[in-house]
Formats: sequence, structure tokens, C-alpha cells
Amino acid sequence: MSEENHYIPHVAEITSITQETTGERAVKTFKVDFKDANVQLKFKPGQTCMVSVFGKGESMFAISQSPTRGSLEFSVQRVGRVTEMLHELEVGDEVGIRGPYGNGFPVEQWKGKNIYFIAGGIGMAPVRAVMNYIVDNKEDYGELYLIYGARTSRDLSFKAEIDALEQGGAIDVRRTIDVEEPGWVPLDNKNPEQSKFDPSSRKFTGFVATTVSAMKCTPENALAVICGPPIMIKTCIASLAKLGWKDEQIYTTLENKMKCGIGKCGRCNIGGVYVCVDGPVFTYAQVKKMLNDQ
Amino acid sequence: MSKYILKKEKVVDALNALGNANAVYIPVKNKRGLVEYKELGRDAAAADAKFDCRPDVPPKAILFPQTQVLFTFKKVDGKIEVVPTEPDDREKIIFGVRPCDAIAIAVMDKVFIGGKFVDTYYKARRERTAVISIACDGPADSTCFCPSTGGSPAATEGSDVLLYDVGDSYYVEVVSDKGRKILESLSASLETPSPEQEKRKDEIVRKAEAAEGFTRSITAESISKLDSSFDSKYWDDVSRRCLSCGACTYYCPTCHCFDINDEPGRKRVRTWDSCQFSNFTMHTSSHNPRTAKAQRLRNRYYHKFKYSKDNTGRYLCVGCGRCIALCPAGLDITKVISEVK
Amino acid sequence: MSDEKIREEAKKALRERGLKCVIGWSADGTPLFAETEDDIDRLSFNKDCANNLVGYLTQEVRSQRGKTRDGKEKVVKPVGIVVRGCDSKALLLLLNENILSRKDVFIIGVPCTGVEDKRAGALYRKCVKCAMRNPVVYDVLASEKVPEDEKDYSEIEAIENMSVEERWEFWEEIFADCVRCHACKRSCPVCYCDECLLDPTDVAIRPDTTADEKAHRPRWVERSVNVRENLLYHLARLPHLAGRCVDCGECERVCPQRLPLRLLTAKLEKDVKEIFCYEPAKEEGQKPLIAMSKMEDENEFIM
Repeated sequence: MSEENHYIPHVAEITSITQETTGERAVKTFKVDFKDANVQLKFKPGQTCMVSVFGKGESMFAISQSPTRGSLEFSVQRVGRVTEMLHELEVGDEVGIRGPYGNGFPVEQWKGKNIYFIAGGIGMAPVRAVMNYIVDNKEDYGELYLIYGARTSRDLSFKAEIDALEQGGAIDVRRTIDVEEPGWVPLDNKNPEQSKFDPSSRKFTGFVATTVSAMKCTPENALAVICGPPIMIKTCIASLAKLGWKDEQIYTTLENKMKCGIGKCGRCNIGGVYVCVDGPVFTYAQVKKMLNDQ
Repeated sequence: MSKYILKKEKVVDALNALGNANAVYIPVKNKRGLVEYKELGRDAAAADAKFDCRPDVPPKAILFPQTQVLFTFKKVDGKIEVVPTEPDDREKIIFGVRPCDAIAIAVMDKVFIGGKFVDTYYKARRERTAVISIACDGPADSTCFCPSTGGSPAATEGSDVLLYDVGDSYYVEVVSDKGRKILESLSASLETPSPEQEKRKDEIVRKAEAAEGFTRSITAESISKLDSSFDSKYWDDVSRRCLSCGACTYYCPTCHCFDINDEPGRKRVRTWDSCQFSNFTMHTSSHNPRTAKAQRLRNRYYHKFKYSKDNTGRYLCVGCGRCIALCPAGLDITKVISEVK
Repeated sequence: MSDEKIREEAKKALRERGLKCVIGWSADGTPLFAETEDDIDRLSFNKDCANNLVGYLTQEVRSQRGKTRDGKEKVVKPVGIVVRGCDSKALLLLLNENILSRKDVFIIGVPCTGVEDKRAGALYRKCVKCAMRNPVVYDVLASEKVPEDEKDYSEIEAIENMSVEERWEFWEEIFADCVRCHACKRSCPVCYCDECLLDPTDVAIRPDTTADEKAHRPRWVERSVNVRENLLYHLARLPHLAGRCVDCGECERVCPQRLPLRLLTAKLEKDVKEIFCYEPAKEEGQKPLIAMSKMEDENEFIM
């Protein structure tokens, strides 16, 4: 592996594209297959790959599907140069893939625990990979929860897949949106603890952190995986702390900082920590020890 | 260790002899008075070699070019084929390297070859490169401070052969097997040192060990202040005059940050980048962890003197002093580390 | 002599005008942002004081601007600066372009007989013959005015007299050596844009910049460093400096590759003078060249 030329991507074909959400910042999920049958990517949930649009550039993405599902997928929000170009591609077009990079989630250490998956927006992509992995190995783990927020109900990705998980009883799912819509139970963002929380409700209006507080996620024998915009991560951690959670129980991933993926280009460091080789998955206890350089 | 003498009058012949089988890089003065490494026979003549000063430009680009095409791609029957750039496989000798720059090569080796991931392009060049250095007789420039960073004007690390200027000759010390093999090809030009020449060489070593003549330094005590000065207001003050240009990083023999872009002509190109540029750490989302000059400047000094030391056991600075000599705003790394509170 | 006067005037203005700071040089020639009277005692002007400090002036004024939480314009404390003749020209240009307001600056002028390139141990080339030794805009002068020279265009004329092939060879060699560290642009007192089309490391991206905009924004200059890209960078910069560049020579001074960049800027200045009869920063209140169009302007390049 070490003698491989890490800058050379393997050519892969897009075999399916799922339009998860629409609009200016639409999300699409791309399923890809390597052209060369000898190329096999062994990856763990939480790892990332560098995806190339040839002639346009490359960008780092979390793999958005669990290795247990047999396909390599990336869920990409249209925000920048490369993602825009990716969104213009069609089934049968070719992309480049190099990786996987990073440590991934320590799923082995999590056995026997209750797990809260907490995701906001495109942060659902890495969460989906690890959630599906855990669901596929459900007998090794305790109770599973997903709290998934987006701006509006139309901005929630993986709808059918999450609905199926929920209906199959694999996981307790709570969805939240920022702006009120009919049928979505409003929570009070200003006084989350005082919000009336009806356990039978599945759909709320309020911040993700508000739902976390209102739901009173219990820290006993549990851990949380939080992914989303920085402000959402911050507020969710604060909510969990109030509920008695310890920093070591909270996991997040910082893959949005990664560039070269191989610890050389000098961009992703937070203090002396190189996100691409030391992370991108860290516990909040680890993040807290890092220098204030984020 | 084997020792020889190479008379200065024979250096031109020796360089030309080495040039027959190798790409030989020597420091030469360009039209504008800048001393930089050029390839013998292609851009420079052996007689123009300038060995009496610290070159203004380090030899970094010979191993890590500023612009490197990583691969090109083509479409064959509508399908993409990636064509990796052939590694540069010419045997190379960099002749007349200063010990600080040789140590810098050892530091870069750690970055590009030593970690979990090996950099194919760097490794291909590095494996085929021999370094023949010249010890400095005291500081080569008023901005030098190599002893502060664990180096020395007569350090051998990173070199395959080390020369000492003992007057009309170079005293030749073999450092590695690679160096031994190169010297074998020059055996006709080599002589045995006289006791007088031994003495002169020993004097250079003594001066080097005593760090004689250096006016700039960074103490370990100063560096240890970095443990507690991350949030110091000092960074705001000192960075006020920084222009956020890339001079300090581009001319640093150990700075190795890069960017990768696709460019017209169906190619992917790696280019040097600088942590001092404002968009260096910009995320796609427009979030930028180091928007302020103070944050960027601090990151450079911390990377050199703390992060690298904590992670790899050594500084990412060899004390060559070029960033001091070239900073348009007169920022002096030794002063900054000494003054930080 | 002038050091005492600089300090005296700086202290007076600090007290009476409530300056944010006074930007000047310390005795070793490095830029100094003096905020207290003690700092001011370290201000100096001598042959080592080579930096054009005007870029810092823009930085210090601009950093104070903006709106307060209740939507009012923030109060801008005036900033003091010590300027030589060439610096003052750049400063006057910024005033004429309304980048700086006269009330935001306090100017201590120092007539100058040239500064030295420490590494060469001699006067900078631009200082050997200089037509702008005396400040053109100032609140106080720290010393007597000094005699000035006629502008010397002999080097430019020599290049103009080259054949096209000779000229290409001459410039190709120079541009081949540029490493695009951008020191020339970042030190330029009249290059004050927030983003630069010619600098791929300096693209303004805001939270509301769309993916479409990011993806389809033209890249005029690639990151590859080679003659083609370097030439584009330098030559495309020039028209943006036409009628604005005062030939202060800061770009050439800061260039770590010692590229003779003033051959470009002096040529630009000469052309602007000859073609449009315009001299930038000639007087206060002067309109920018680009805002003026005259019937007698040469226009054969249009059609």
C-alpha cells in the first residue's frame, strides 16, 4: 500500500444517481463502480475518499454508505466548484476515486452501547454510513436513535431509506426542521428543556439541539455521533452536556478540513493535530484538547 | 570515515566529470545577483559555480518542484485513461549545498517519505539524488542561526559528502555509501590531506561546535514559551506588518505545503502553496479557520517550532535565515520567537 | 534632526488628534506601529527605511470601518503616517480615489535623499535619480525640502529600442524566474482590491457565493508557475495600474527574485504621460485617469 502512488485516482463509473433534495444546495447520492475489476476499496464507516471530476478538480467526501451494503456511495451537496461539476454528471460518466482516508468510527469499541446518531443537513452523509453499519450489526449494539435535522422537510435526504429503517423498528427516528410546516410539532428553541415532548411525535420544528434537549437523551451506557454545521455541533454538545453526557461519549468528524488526505499539504491541522491522518473522527474530549484554531 | 583533498583548481574538472553521468546542480549567480541552483551544462557552466556564500534560493525545488504535473488524462473511445507523470529518474548530484539545506532535505524526507503515505514523486527524485555539501566557516550570512535549531555549520546530516574549505583546497569527508561511490568516480582528482589541512578542517569543526560568530539565535527557553502563548495578543501586533505574501514560505527549505488543481490541457498539477495566503485554509462552505494574518503567522511559527517538534521530534526550521533576509516587512523569526509573551 | 521633529509632531498629533497609531520606521528600517509616546520615541528615518508604508495605512483605516450593532457608521480614529516623496504620491492617489479620506490621516512628510538596499550596500536603483524626493501631501514636514532630479527614462528607452524578438527574449527570461509569491502585489500601495482576478490564491468567497459562481468563475491565471502564467499575471496587472501607479518601486524592492519590475511600471507611467498627458497623483482632487476621456486621446487601438 505504501508504494502506491497516492495522487493517482482510480477511474470509476457512476452507476446510479439519487436526487435526495432539490434547490440551490441540492444533494445527490452517487453510486460508483471501479472500471478496473482488480481495484477494491476496503473501507470503514467514517472514512473519506477524494473524488475527482477530471479536468475540474478533486474534493474530499465522506463515504455515505456502510461497507456492509456492498456499494461505494457519496452524497454530495452542491456548494462549490467540484460539487457543482459532480452534479452535472450523469449515470455512465466517469469520476476518479482515491482513498480511503482517515480513521473511521471506532465501531468495535461501541459494541453493547446505545447509540444516538445526531445529524444536520449534509452531515447526514457520514452518519448514514455508520448508522447503516450499526443497523446491519444490530445484535452487537443496544438501542439506536436518529435525530436528523434540516432547514425544511424538503431538505431531508435518504427519505425512503430512513422511513424503512424506522418502520422496520431498527431505529427510533426523530426529524426536525427549522421553519414550521403543517404536521410538524413545534419545540421552543429558547427553552428547549421546557418544550413539551410527545414521545409518539416523530416530526418537530426546532433546532436539532432543541430536540436533543427535549428528548432528554440519556447518557447511561450510550454514545452520540454528531455531524453537521459547526454551530449545530456546538449547540448539540451543549445540550448533551446539560443532560450529563461526558465529552468522551460524543463523537464527531472533521473531514471538511481535509485536502490532500495523506498528511502532507499542510491545511487540515488544528494545532499539531492533522485531521487527515489523526482523524477525521474524534471524540469531543479530543477536540476540546486541541488548540483554538478551527 | 575516508578523507581526501580536492584542490580548488580541480573542482571544475571534477564537476564536469560528474556531469557526464549525472544531472549536477551547482549554485551560480544569475544576472540580477541572485545565487540559485542551476543544472550544469544546461543552465550553468562549472566555472560559474559560486561556493562562497549561502545561496539565496535553497535547493528545495530540485526535489520538490514548484510546479509538478501529477498526471494527465485522455479520453480513449469516450473513456478516461489516467497517465501518471513518469518519475524523474535521472541520477542527480546537488553540489555545494550548505549544511542547513542538507539537514532540510533530511527533514523533508521525513515529511514525504517517512510518514504513513509515501510521496511517489518526491521519492523518485530523492532516491536518485546525492548531496555534496560545503561546511560553513562560521555563519555564512548575518541572518543565519542554524545552531539554534539543532544544526551546525559543519553538520553532516542529509549530506553524502561534506567538503571543508581549507584554503586552496577542499577537505573531503565521506558521509555515506552513496558519497563513497561518487568519490570513487573522482579518485583521479583526489589527494591525501596534509596534517596542516587536517588542522584547518578541525578548526572549522571546532568553530562550528562552539557556534562561533552567530549574532542571531533562538533559545530553547524562548521556544518553550509557545506552550502558553497561543492566545497571546502579541500575534496581532507582530502580524500587523505581514503582507501575507509567500516569500518566507517559498524560500524556506523545509516549507512543503502545496495545492492540487486541474488545469487546462487535461492535467492535474501540484504547486507550492503558502500558509500565509488568506485562502489557504478556506473550506468549500466559505468557512475559513485562519482568516486573520495573526492566525496564519502564528500557525507558521507554531508549525515550525512546536507542532513539528511534538509530532516528529524535530523543528521544521533549520536556521538558514532566508525568511529573515527576504521578508519585505522585515519580520525576523528569531526576534518573534524571542519576543512572544 | 528629523527624528526629533518626527517624534515631536507624532506625539503632538497622538494627543491632540486622538490618532489610533502612527505608522513609521524604527531605526533598523522595519515598519513600526507606534501607539504610545514610548513607541513614538522609537520612530526614526534613515537610509535603511526602505518600506513604503502606505499599504499599512489603508489596512489600519479600513479595519476600523463598518457598522455598529445599531447600524451606525463606526467612528474611525485618524491614523498617522511618516512618508517620503514617493510614498506621499501613492497616498495622494488613494486620497484622490476616495479610498482614504484626508480627515482619516495625519501625514508627517520626510524629504528623502534615497534609501539603501542593505544587501547591495548601495542606494536602490529608483533612488539614484529621483523626481519625487519631497512629499506632495502632508500635514507637517520633518525637515527641509531637498533638490529633485528629472525623471530618468533612459532604461525604458533602451528597451523600447529593442526589436520585438530581443524584447521577448529579455522579458521571457525575467518572467521565467518569477515564483509568484505575490509580494509585489501585496506590497503595492495602490493594489487595494479585496480579491484579485490575477491571483488564484485570493478569491473572495462569501457564505452566499453559489456553487455555480464558484464553479464557473474564470481562472485568468492558473496556479502553475511558468513563463505563460507569470507573464499573464504581470502584464494583466499593468492596465489596472495605468494612471494609478506612481512608480514608487515597492514591487521591485520586495521581489525576492530581484526582478526589475520597475521597468514595467516606469514604462506604464511614461506611456500614460505621452498618450494621455496624465500624471497620477499630481495634485489634490485630481480625477482618476479612467474617469477622464478627452477628444484628443489616442484612439487608434479601438478600431
